[in-house]
Amino acid sequence: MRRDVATLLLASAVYGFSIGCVHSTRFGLNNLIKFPLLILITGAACAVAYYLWALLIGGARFRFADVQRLAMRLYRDAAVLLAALAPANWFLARTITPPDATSLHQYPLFLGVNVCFIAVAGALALFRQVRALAQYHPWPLSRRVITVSGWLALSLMVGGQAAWTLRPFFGVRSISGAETPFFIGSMPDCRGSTNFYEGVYNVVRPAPFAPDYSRRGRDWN
Amino acid sequence: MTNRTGELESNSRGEQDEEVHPFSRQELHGMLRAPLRLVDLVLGERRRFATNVAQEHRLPTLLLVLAIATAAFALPFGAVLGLRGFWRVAALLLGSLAICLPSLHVFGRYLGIGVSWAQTLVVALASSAVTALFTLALAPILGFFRVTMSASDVVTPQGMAVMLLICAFAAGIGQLFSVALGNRVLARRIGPAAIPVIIPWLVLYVIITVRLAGVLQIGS
Repeated sequence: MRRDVATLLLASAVYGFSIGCVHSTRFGLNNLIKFPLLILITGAACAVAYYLWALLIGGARFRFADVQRLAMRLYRDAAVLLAALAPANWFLARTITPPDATSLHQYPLFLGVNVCFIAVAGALALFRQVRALAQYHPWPLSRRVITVSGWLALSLMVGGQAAWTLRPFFGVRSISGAETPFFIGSMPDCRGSTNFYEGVYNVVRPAPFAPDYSRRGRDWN
Repeated sequence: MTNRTGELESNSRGEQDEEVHPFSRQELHGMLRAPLRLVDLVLGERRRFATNVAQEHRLPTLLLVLAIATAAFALPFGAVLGLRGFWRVAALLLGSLAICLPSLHVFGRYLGIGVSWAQTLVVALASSAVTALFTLALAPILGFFRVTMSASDVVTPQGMAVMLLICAFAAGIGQLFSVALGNRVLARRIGPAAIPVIIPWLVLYVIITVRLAGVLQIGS
């Protein structure tokens, strides 16, 4: 278990450094602490819920330590896979056309690539833990998938807010690192969102109608 | 790999075939001294729990244990919502159950469910105990949200508390189905009327719970 925790912290720190370097080495160094902290906060807040969820779905007698070990290995696997991508990520971070006052240039591409990296690493870690669950109890595949997916959903719910509180992890390079606090907390972002869920809502909500929307699409005006 | 799978399958068959013993009085009293062992009672060893209900074995002790568990496990979530109203979530769980239990039992009997008052109460209390357990598990998450979220027009800590409470209630409802229908002995006793009784009853239960939450000012 200790070795797993050490691997998790090290791997997540390496990946965190690589994403922070898109802004500056200072952000990368901050992420050496912040990224492992993000995972630790998420794991600690969800620990009891992971256990009860496994019991509710599986109905089997699980030990609390077994569930924590399995859930932590989910994080560890994802972190190790992401750490393996860190050199490529660091290279991209240092070579994309950086944002300036006029445009974000290739910064959105870097964000998109990292979303893909995290999705791939998370999915692979998920599949592996679904298989690992069979060693503890001979559940049908569907129950194992529901159990591990529930852990993942819970982690996303808490981890999203934890990441929001600990942001910035990436950061637009045109914003000075010296002026940016270690973490921003609940300060509003560019759209006025003060928490993760509001941030998601503001990203996906439909754009407001233009003032002259009722006149558009017609030949006569 | 094939051997391992075969071993697991044979273990699984062995588990299903073995005789299930109900929880004894000593075990139930032990749970009052070590409350976290209640997790085994309602979630970990559902077949033994169902045997207790089906055989009406130690039901008064079981009722006492489940009622105390429901009240005690709901307190931390209530305390995170507001220290002065720490009792509200426990009151919500026990109050809504008390209001809706007569309808569950009477309609169940009317439609041919052959269980006693005590059995109905134990099954319903097991559902509330699971809800309470999940509120205990979600209390640290709610605490984290309250610490990290500030005032917002769209998503507030109170809104998240309501959402987490709904998740806990969903887990409790899942447990109700699992206990009532998942065990062969109990399912045979309850009979085919289970679904036509439980589904409409759940609608009533949800309505009453929402109203009671309003009265108790939970989430406002």
